[in-house]
Formats: sequence, C-alpha cells, structure tokens
Amino acid sequence: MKQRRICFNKKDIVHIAQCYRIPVSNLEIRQLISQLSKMTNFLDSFDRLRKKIKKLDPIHHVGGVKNRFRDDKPKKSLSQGEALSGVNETYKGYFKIPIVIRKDGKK
Amino acid sequence: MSIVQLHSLIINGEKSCLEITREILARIDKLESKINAFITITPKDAIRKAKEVDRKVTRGENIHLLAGIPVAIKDSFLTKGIKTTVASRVLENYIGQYDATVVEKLKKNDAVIVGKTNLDEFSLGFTTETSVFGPTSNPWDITRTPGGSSGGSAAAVASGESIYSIGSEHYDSIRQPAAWCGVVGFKPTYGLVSRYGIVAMASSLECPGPITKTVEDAAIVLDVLSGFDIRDANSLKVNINNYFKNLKPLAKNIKIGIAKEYFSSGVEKDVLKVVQEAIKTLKKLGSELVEISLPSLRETSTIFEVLYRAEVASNLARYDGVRYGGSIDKVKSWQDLYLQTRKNFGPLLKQQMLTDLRALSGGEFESIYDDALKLRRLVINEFSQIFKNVDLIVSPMSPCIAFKKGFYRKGKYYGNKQTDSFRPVVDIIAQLPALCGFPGISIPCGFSKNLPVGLQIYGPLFSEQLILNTAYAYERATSWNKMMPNLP
Repeated sequence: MKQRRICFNKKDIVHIAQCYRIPVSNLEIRQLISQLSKMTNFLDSFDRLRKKIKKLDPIHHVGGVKNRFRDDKPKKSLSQGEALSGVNETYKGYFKIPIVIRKDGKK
Repeated sequence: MSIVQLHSLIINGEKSCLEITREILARIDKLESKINAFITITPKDAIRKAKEVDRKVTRGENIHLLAGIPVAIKDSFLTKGIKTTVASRVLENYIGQYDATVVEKLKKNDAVIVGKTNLDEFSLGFTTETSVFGPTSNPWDITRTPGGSSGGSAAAVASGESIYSIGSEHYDSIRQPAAWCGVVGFKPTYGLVSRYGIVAMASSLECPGPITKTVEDAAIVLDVLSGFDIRDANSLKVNINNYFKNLKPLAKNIKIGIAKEYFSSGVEKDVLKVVQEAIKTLKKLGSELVEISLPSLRETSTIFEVLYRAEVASNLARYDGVRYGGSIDKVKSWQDLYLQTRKNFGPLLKQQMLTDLRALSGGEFESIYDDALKLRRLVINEFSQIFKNVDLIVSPMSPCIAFKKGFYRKGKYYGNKQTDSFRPVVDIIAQLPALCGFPGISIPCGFSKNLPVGLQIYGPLFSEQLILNTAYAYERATSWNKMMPNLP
C-alpha cells in the first residue's frame, strides 16, 4: 500500500504560500501545519477503503450527464464595455495587467 | 403572509403590489439594525417593479403567482447592475454584468427583488458569522446565529423582511438555516436548478433552492427555478414545472425510512423528542414507518473534504485581481497583484485555499480526487438498495438548535466537546445524501428551548413531488409554520 502520511513544517507552508501567492502570517502558518497534517489523515482513511472501491468507476455526475456540448453557433455575449465594467482601470478597451516584459528588456 | 395568500389579495384588488413592497421595505428598515439579514437593499428597483406589476393588474393581464411578491436573494447569485459581494472583501464592490439564471427566471415572472442577503464569506461556513459585513442574527433570539451559509436568506423570511428568499447549498446551507430559523427550505435534485451565475465554490455539489414560509410556496418557487439550462453544463435535461399543480397533502401509504443512526446520542435530547413526535404525526397521516440502516460508509467528511477542497481551490484560483476590482496602477508586478488581491480573503478562506491547493498538487495526491468519486459511487449504490424498500427517509435537519453567536471569532471556530459531537451526525444527515445529489426539505416541526427545530425529509433523485406532498400533509396537520418570532 502506498504510504501517504506526510509531515509539514514551517518551511513547507511558506513554500506553498509563495507558490500560490497567498500571503500568510506566522499565526496562520501554525494553523496551516496542523490543518495539512489533518488532511493527510483523511487520506489514510481512503487507503482503508481502497479494496471496496477497486472495481468501481468514478462518478462524474450524479444524474449521469456526460460531455455536454452546445451547438457551435456564436451567441450574443457581453459587450466589451460590459465585460470591462468590473475593473477600475482599463487600457484602450482592454483589461489592464502588470507589465510582464518591458520594451527596454529590464525586469 | 404566504405567496399564495398575497397573490389572491393582489388579483382581487384588495392590496396592491406597491403596498406589499412598501410594507416589506418598512419592515427591513425597522429590523435590519437587529437582524442584519441583508448586504444590499434595493428599494428603488423594488418599487419600480411593484408599480409595473400593479399596472398589469389594472390592465386585467394575467400575472404569475410570484408577480409583485417581494423576494430576497442570497448574495452569491449575480444580479445585473446590483452588487454581488459573496460577503467578501475580494468582491466587495463587484457589480454583476448579467443575471444568474435563477434571478433571470424570477424577473421574468415579475418577482420584486428587495435585496441581497448575507451569507458566510464565499458560502464557506454554517453560522453566517464569517461575512465581512457582520453576522446575521436569528430572528427567534438575536443572541444566536441563523445557521448558514444562507443565513441571511432564512432570517429574512423568518423575520418577515421578505416573503420568500433564494439560497444555495452544497449539503445543508439552505435547509440548516431554514431549520434554525423555523422556515421551509428546499434543496432540489442536483442539476434540476441551474447554477449559472452563482459565484462558484464546489461545482459538483451546488444546488440553488427556495426558502419559504410554507410548503405550497416552496412548490411554486421550485416550479419557476427548475428546468434545463444550456449555460450550466451539469444541468439536467428535464423540465418538471408542475410541482404546485400536483401538490396534494398526501402522506398515506408512503414508506418512510427511519434510520437509527439519525437518532443517536449525537442529537440533542429535546430535538430528538420533537422529531420523534413529528414522525408519529406522519404515521397518523398514513405513512408506513420502515426501519433502515444507512450506507455503511462513515468517511463522508473525507470524501467531502477532497471533492470540496479540490473544487473550491480550482474555483477560487480565478481571483487574480485583473477582472474583478483591484487597482493595477498601484502594483509593480503580477506577484504584487496576486498578493494584494488574495490578502483580502478571510482567514478561513485563506487556510482553505492553501490546503486545497496543496491537495491538488504533488504526485502523492494524484489519484485522490478519483478515489473520492469512486467512493461517491459506492454511497449511491448503497442508497439505491435502501430506496428499493422505502420511498423517503426522515431525520432531524440539525442535531441541535441554533448556536449562540460567537462560535466563529477572529478567524477561528470555537467548538467544544458538545459541538464536536454534532459533527458526525451532520455528516450523515446532510453530506451523505448530498453526495448522491438527492433532493430534500426541512420543515418546522416544533421547538426546543423556544427555538425552532426542523424535520428533514429526503428521497432519491427526482422525488421532489413525493417530498413536497408528504411535507404538505405534515404541514397541514400541524401549525408550526404559523408560529412567528417575537419581533417588534
């Protein structure tokens, strides 16, 4: 059986938070360590049930809906103005985003 | 008053929609400082709509049962031109560009939207205390919570600040607050009501539904809400829109499953007594009680944790600060923008997101989501055996009465031994059937320590009519839904 129990320390949490760009305080880090460890316990209980579900297919929709596609016909959608109405700043009718590459090549 | 009663007053010319709307707005004005059921109130739009319906009535036009009747909508449903905040700083000033299908359908039938109701931030929670707009109070005792996450919707109906309301749930967020506030809450079969335009959390579990004062009203609203919607890929291709027409107070010869697991020591004694009394009433109404055992699986919270976490993480990843609010001019880089945006998530959500995201990444977790879906099938298979012998199953909707406020404080839940003991019962009451997408109702069935208790009736997929009829029979035989909280 695959062993899933994993221990987490402060370094792990800081790393995860950095990867996902979510700011966390020291207090939150402590809480997260215990939360993540708890979650790996959940996964242990999955292992216990492995035998029972070996032959079952995963269910993707309780009502049996599969790969629903709509007709490939263009439909009326939001106007450019409407789509942009949720933001404070726009640029020539586009969403504004932080600079990714500068003309002068500087970071 | 109920939708049915008000509709007859309107068409008989005894009361105008404008009068009704003004009365509701006045009540909101009077009670909001105590109840805080609403995040946004929309008096101008409501009055304009009410006048419009009155003109239709004067012209002798046929109007829908919901026409001119005030409704409050959970603030997780998009409303064109009206703020949708999901009770979070992240979307604090977000104004929807379109209506959710549910809202569109209500508008089409001339419903009068009086406002958007409070909820737990991004619907994550069960006491409506994690809202950044402050907690909602339970109208029966304002020192207590209304339940959640659709707590504002339930409190608005119970306090008379709205005639009915719209909520949404993953497993009990409509029905648990309905139970704690002494009103009717209905969760339809998954896919029967479109999710289009709801701020997404756990997509494979989300079910919008009505909160009303009576079973009749629930049937009326469900008729309007249900139906296939091409814009929701998980919407079911069924169009059943005659729940109200076919509503009969009929509990006779219905085989009702009684599972001993629901009547365990994890349920408060007084609540248990009230629910057992309700079951006796169902028997008197001609239902046949059949003892059953629930699916053997007790790891529902495990399955839930995995499905919920994975889906929430993927849904919340969209908040990057580009399309919803945020100030690009003040940030130097993408990194900055993400941090600026995501620092606005409440502490519980931040924790949830980080653990969620961790769950989704890394080789060791790769098959977890699939395993959870297999376990979900296992539960469904076991339930289908149970439903060969019974038509419906009843249980208490909640193992306890409304919690005192302060259960959530400063980013943390303060549980104790007793509240912890409720958890496994909630899992089997709500999560187990929710994994299967089953419909269910909570109806008022009595009081414990002067606070409302709800009776849950649930059944297999598409058993809405049977549930409604049985609940209707119970409601007619009792008078719990006529009880009102002691408010000014």
